[in-house]
Amino acid sequence: MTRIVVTGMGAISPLGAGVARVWEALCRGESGIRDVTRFDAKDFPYTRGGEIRDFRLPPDVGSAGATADLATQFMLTAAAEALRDGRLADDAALLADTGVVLSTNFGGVLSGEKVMAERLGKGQAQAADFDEFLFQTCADRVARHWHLGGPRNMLSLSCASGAAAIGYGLELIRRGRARAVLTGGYDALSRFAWSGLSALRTMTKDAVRPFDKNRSGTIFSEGAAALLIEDEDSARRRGAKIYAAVAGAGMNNNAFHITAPAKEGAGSAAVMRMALSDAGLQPEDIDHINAHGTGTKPNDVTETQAIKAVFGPHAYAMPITSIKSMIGHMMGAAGSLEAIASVLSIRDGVIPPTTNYRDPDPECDLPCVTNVKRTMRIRSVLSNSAGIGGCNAAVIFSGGRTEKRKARGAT
Amino acid sequence: MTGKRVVITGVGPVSAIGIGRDAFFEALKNGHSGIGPVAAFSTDRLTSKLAAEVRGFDVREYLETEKAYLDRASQLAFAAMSLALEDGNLNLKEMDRSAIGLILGSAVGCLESASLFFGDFLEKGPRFVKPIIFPHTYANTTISLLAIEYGLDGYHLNFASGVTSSASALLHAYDRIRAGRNPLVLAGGVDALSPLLYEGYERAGRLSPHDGGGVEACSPFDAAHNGAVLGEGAGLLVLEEWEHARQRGTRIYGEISGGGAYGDTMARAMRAACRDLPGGVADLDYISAAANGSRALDRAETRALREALGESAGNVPVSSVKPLLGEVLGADGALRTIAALGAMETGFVPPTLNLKQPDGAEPLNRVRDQGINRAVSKALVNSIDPGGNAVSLLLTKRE
Repeated sequence: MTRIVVTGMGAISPLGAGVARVWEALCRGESGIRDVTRFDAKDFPYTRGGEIRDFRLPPDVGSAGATADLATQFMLTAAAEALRDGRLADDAALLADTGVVLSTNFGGVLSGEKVMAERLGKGQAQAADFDEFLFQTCADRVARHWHLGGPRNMLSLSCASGAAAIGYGLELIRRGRARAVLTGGYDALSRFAWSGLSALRTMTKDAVRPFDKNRSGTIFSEGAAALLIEDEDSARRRGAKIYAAVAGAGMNNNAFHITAPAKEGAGSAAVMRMALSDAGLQPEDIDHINAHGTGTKPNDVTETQAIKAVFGPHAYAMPITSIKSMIGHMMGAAGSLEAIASVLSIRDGVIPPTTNYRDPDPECDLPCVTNVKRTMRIRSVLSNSAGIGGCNAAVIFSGGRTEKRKARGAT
Repeated sequence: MTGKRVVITGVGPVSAIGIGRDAFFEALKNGHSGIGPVAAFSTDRLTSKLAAEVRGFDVREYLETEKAYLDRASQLAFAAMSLALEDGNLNLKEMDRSAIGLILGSAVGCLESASLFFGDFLEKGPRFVKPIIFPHTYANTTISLLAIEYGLDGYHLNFASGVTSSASALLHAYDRIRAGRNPLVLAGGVDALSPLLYEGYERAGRLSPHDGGGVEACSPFDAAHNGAVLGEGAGLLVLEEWEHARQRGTRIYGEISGGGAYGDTMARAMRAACRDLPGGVADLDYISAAANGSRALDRAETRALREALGESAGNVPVSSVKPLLGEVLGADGALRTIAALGAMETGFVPPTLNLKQPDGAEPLNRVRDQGINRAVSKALVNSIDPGGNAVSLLLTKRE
């Protein structure tokens, strides 16, 4: 069976626009968390977030995105970079067989807020705002602008969305429904999400300190990230740059509770096993985990338990990190951006740090790359995601062709 | 690429024309439309007044215990799930649930709950919103609640792909089973009517009679077509690997034998779905059209049908059951797949209600407002989002 590889990437985040810029900032341990200015945050319990400021659409999106919802504009920006990076525009036949699989929690919610406010007699909306609120509109805008003719789908699986988009894109290529798929995730900060996420008491007024004893919550942020994935034969034929292989993925549900994490991270453990089995890899083949690591008390301890359950003693030989310490929790984009970090960890042999880390937590005792990046050879990375409703997703990326490859099971 | 056979062994339709298989099949055969004046909310300020609402529905009939809160979309989906499991003779508690996939779709999810939640925000401020409602405003609320209710901790994927949401879910379920990745997948979709959705569609000019013409009606392919009429509903199907179904000796409605999905190229999706039929699209006994009465969509599908069918355009019967069901958005592919299985079951091709004077002189065999008796063993379901994504599913039945 052919491998599926990553041939293009794009990102816009609170740490800046462009994959190169974001990656450098992550490796330096910069923080993208600031006071929120999108809306008047002083009435909210939490006022700091990962906001994108001074945003401009790139020239190659231009007028196509000018009237789009801000969240969709983020996605268009990341998509533009990924397609530029993947040099897809040169190949009309491939464009016709390229699918679009994007994912989000809240979609065009800033347009949606206008529509909802108007309905309640508390604001005004335009007819176009309703279309901008519909999730599929974003996939339509991306597909049309770049003439991508394959299956065109929006997914929504809470904060597992970005990772699930890669997993589903992988399936589309394996089943012959597309030769390449532009996968991505996006979300924008909004009063709607901010009030709801505040009410759920998952946020902190402190910094995000994943796996630290005194961690007290996460901080939400916004942006978009895109990965162009492609059949390796197709990529090699057209001489595309190959970053890494998407070795396997898994998506599942805890089937436990709508907001509380499953006991001992059972669902997260199961989804990591699904991804390993899908990739035909053993736990020992994984060199690094890019953790979900939100910085909430329950997430980090249950994720630690899940990793130990799956990896056994190897869990202590394999560094983990959470980039949410720097960039915040990008909601629908989190899984996509963390996938990009995973791919670049393989390419550069660098694991970005988990910043703000001070005090070890005996319950979160896995080796974490704290405060300063680490350099080491990495063949395979597992990227973990989870979200409200009990959704989990895990994606594994592998570099080179030298890694141990076991016979695939049912795939 | 050959793979395992994928059969449909249970259906759970919840729609304006009927709840449950028998009522649903009966209404299709009798041509009873579910469209009427909107009862759930006021349309006084609006030009359009019609919708296909699910009436006489009490979710408690489908629940074991009371729920603190359920959006209407979740309610409709809970009912569809309960009906599909009963129809498919499935007792999930006796099964390895981690091997079972759950794949759903919804165009607008729990929109009414989002609106309720945001209303509180605007009225009372960010500190006094209801934490209990917020988790019910997500697009994945419904699928996740079903996973929790039924202990479905296996493969889990949720589409928010407009009208093609549930057709995409069914196509993906088919691919999963065919590739041997799940022996059984529960798949389908849902969308519920709400004032926000209805007004949004009206303002976007999508509802009859906004697209010209004074009479409000759903009349796909008719010269008088002037917009869609919204509906609501849920459809859940039990998709199963053939050998798995045979071993448990359950009834088989039919088989999914192909599928195609492409953006902006409907004819390509149809041809891809029929790739394994010897004569391709021309071999079909029936095509369930996506046409919903909007001129742009009706005409685009008409062109695609002509392109895909070629010289056989006059032979294969085509009908749209949307004058019966309404435009049910995320439930579309699921409910019309069940309807097509009904056509196979009853040997009756359902009518395109209100089709009297076809729009244009296309040589298509459009079934008008009387259905036709005809044995159906190969049916195609076209699901098309107005934004351009097109999904086609091929259903077959062996003698």
